[in-house]
Amino acid sequence: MKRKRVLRDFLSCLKENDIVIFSGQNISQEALDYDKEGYFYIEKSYGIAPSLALGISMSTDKRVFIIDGDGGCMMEMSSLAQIGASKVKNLFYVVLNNGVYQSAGGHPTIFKEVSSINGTILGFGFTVFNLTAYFKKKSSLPKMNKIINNLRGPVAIFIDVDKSISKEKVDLDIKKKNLRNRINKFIRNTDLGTSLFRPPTVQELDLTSEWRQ
Amino acid sequence: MNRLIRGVGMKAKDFWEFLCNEMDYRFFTGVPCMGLKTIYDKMSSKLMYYVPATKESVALGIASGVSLSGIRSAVLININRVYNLMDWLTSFNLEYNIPLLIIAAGKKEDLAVGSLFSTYKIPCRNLKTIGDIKYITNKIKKFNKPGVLFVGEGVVSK
Repeated sequence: MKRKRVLRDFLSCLKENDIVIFSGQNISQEALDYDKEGYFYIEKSYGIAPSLALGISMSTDKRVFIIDGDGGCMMEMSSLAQIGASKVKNLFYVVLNNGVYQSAGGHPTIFKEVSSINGTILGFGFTVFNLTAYFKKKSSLPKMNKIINNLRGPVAIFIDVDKSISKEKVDLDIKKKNLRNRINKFIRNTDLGTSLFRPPTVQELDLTSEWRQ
Repeated sequence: MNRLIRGVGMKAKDFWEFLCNEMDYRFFTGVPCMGLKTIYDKMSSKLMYYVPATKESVALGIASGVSLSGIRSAVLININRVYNLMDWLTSFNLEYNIPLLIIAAGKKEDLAVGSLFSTYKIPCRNLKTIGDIKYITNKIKKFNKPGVLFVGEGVVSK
């Protein structure tokens, strides 16, 4: 399965007010064709996406999706432990596993060598799904749509993809400063319906009362 | 408060009250260290929301995400662990103009690390009075980039 097709199918299952963070150069470039207001691209800074998404998901009740590669997933496992411990219900971590560092020349990652990556992430507190089979048949897309829209986080979704990337390379020509302003505006925008975002009051933030008095 | 502006040093309680109530910082994350003990001891859930992080870079990521949502956020670390942040600080926060306050504790001799920040034009201020908190937070707001508040030994007392 080509990654770009998987991206297209997966993104078609999401709602208008979902936030999606794309991590990695190739994934960002491929996803740019399906660009929306709530999409945020990180070309460099490998490994920051999970912890960044955790910060966003803590301050909004919109669903936050991270689309990462297997290389990025292995790079900062401690942020996955942090997400699991935080028990955020609106965070979904999607790993497109092609087994290589695509943007760095296709050298192999250790993702498949880890004896039980599913078990490790499950142990952190995620619910783990492998949705590869659903993407193979176009007829199963509605079923997958139903699954994705009924999940409660933190969820990790693994999808196996091909090593090949699309030949047309698009430059990420969105200015990063504009990207920041756009996502900031999107997070604060409550017009799309289900979001209840507002800056949390101190009483609402009082989740760690037992930690310090 | 006037006493604090005139003299050097401050009480931890006043530090938090000024940072949270006057400067409107409400979200904090970080990794504890001995240099920040007095500050950590006076944290109050009535003033702020604190998330203990697994490591410094994760704290930076979380605080950046909160900052992207428009809430002022800060990271508490030991200055010696600042190298853990530099990768993402330069390739993410500086590139995307994401403001963030880094409260870094350490000894006087650790101040040399400040030169690392000046290389990347990250504003850095040595905490002596309440005015320094105002100075660094205003710089962060003005330039939309991270800023570092260095907390030396014994500056903040119980």
